[in-house]
Amino acid sequence: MRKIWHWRYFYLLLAPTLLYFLVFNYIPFYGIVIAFKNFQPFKGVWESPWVGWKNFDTMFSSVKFPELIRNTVLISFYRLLFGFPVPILFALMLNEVRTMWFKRTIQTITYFPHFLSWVVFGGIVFNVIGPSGIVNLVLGNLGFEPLNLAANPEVFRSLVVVTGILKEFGWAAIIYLAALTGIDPHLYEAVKVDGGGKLRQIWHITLPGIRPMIAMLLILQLASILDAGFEQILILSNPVVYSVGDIIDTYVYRVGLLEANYGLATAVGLFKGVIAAVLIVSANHIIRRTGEKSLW
Amino acid sequence: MRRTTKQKRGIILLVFLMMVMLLAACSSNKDNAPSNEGGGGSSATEGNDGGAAAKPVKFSYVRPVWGAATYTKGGPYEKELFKQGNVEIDAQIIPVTEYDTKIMTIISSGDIPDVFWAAGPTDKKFKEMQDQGAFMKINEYLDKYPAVKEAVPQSVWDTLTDEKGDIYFIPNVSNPLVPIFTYYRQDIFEKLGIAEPKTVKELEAALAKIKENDPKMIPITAQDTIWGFGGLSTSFGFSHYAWGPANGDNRDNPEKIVPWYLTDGGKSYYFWLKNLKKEGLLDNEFLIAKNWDHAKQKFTSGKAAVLGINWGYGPEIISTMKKTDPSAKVGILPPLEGPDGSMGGIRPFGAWDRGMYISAKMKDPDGYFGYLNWLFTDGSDFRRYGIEGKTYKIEDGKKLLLADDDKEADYKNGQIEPLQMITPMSEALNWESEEAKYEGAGVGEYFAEAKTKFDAYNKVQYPEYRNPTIFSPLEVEQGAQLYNDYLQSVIDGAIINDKITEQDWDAAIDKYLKAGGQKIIDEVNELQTNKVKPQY
Repeated sequence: MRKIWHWRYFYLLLAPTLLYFLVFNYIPFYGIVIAFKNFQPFKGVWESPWVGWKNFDTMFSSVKFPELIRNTVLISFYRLLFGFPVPILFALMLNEVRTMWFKRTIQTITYFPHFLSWVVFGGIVFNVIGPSGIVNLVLGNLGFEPLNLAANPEVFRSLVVVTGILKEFGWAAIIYLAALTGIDPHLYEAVKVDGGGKLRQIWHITLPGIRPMIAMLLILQLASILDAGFEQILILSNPVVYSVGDIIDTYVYRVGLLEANYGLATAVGLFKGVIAAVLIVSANHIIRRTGEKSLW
Repeated sequence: MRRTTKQKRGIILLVFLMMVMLLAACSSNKDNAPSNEGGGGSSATEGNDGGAAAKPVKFSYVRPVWGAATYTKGGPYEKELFKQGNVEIDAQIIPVTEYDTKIMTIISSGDIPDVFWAAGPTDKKFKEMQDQGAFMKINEYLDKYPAVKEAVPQSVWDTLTDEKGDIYFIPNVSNPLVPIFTYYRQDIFEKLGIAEPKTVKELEAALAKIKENDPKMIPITAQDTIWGFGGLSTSFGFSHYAWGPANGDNRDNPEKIVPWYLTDGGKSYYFWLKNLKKEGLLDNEFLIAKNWDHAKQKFTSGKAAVLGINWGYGPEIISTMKKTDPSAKVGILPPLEGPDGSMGGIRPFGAWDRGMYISAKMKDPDGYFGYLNWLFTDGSDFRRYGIEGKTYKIEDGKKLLLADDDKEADYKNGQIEPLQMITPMSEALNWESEEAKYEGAGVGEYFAEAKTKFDAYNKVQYPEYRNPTIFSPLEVEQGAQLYNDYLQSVIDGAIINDKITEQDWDAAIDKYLKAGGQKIIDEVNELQTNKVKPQY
């Protein structure tokens, strides 16, 4: 208690943050009971009737469930595999740029798509790759056959991954750029003295310098493996690509939200939360065992 | 560490500011919205005559828009309406394609707007919400405000009355006979020596000839789903997006009714469209493009030769076409004879197209009904025509609505539609007013042709046979999931997904029926004893 009193002003500074998390992240936990109820918004949570495991049963008994899990995990996995390294590489490259105006221009251009909603960005993507989009217009004028990119199951997942990367890599690089500024410049000088070139500097100084950050972000991203990007997929998909693009969230949107079956939507949210918790604990454990700095 | 008093004060002040900001962020924004408390019931009883003493009626309002979502609050049309109607509407618009999703999200919060548009109690979701006490019972207000009651036929009020005799929903009644026309470029057909098609087969041949002559021209396009090809679907002898007679059953008094996807006509219609797509005759963005009006734009800009669309768009399409290409001639195809000899016609809509619910928590329902009553009485002229010189003109003593292209930006439909309520039945189909629309758009010479085709399409009807107030218990419980699990990807994808075959369609139907679809059909047929073809 004496210690708390001693650091009282720091605790006072911490209080609004704790309050924020309490109000927005912990108190809403009571809503989990909706997963076990036939939730009727106008009766309220407690007045709505209990239905036991029915909502979970509805989800797991769906013949589409295996397909939904497969699509969700595959899209997330591809996103992680191909999307995770991009902001790191971009930050490394940007860190080497010495012309400030060029660096800032590139940063601004790459940050910009992050601030667009998927509705707008999806519209731009469609205008580029759609049946009458710029790509097919150019191909047509050059005498080539048009490419079916917008409604092709074979390229849909690639399209989701690539457009997702294009939209977010600039923004995601900010945290790595911040981490890069924390590296002691003397270390680079030491490598130079030892005769190391740029690549050696990156390999031996820069990458180890941001490794804890990479590990932490990897853990956090693993936790969202069952979030394959609802809004993006809803905007980019069409009936042709349902077999490869229908994910847990789009299904819940149709069967849960559109049909006012809020209990089902909550049950799926709870299921995803449990999986995410297992993943995040496992990943943190593995990373701690490898000697890296972990989340806890 | 030594802290000065100044530092401590700084920290306390910072924390205080953060708490204030947190509280401000958490608090409801209701205070910013027009409050209902000021109006009370006073304005309703005094009528919405713009009387200086009466406080304006205030309410929040959410509705879908079919036109451009360009509404800006505080525009001159809005100001004039507020002044004349003694009202302040906090309107929020949602494009119609996103409406159902967004309104369900709003409803899930349990905090609904004072007035909002919905499908009504024939949708089980809303019936359940009615029963939960979410909406206001309106029986007494209908008695108190006769113009509102008279705006809707008694038969519709009867349908909307629940088992306790209560009414909660104000329907936007419409003439169910709204044909979907197939417009075509008469000048292109004439140039290529193509006679006006009378059958589906002749239309297909015409499309192939257009494609052959100009590979860049889109032979046929349509507003997506039923709205666009509604006219053509009837030529395959089934009621699209509806329940109708089972295959081979009597059309006027069937013994059994089934959903459209179980009919031979439904299947052959979808695979006919699929074949058009395969041959490059159907717009390759059909069911793929996300914007609602891409097909209309393609036709009016001369990129497409045939367009399927609701007949109500006629004046706009033809007037825009004339501006784009003054030499263009637009024709309307007659109902076509289908591959199995079925004669095309119309798929009648329901007796209403959505409508309005009023929140049970609305503070000034009297004021709101007073305003509605005003719209159908003293404010009727303003509601229908708007402001002279801005939204309509007078020619030979007749009020002619201006075409949207001829209006100033502040008076275009995008500024008017968001504030509109329902249309009374007496105006659901008024030929004088329809003619005025054509004349106002500067294409009066096309009106006679449109009216003739309107009558021709309405001769053969493919209506919804299912009584919308009858619910199958299994369908309520599992209908959405069964449809999503077994049918949706096949039905939605059949036309545009090359890999889906007729065998896939049959297999999906078979699995659906075995998983519970058959039971739903049996329950509906058992509960609905009267299956006679509805007459309009």
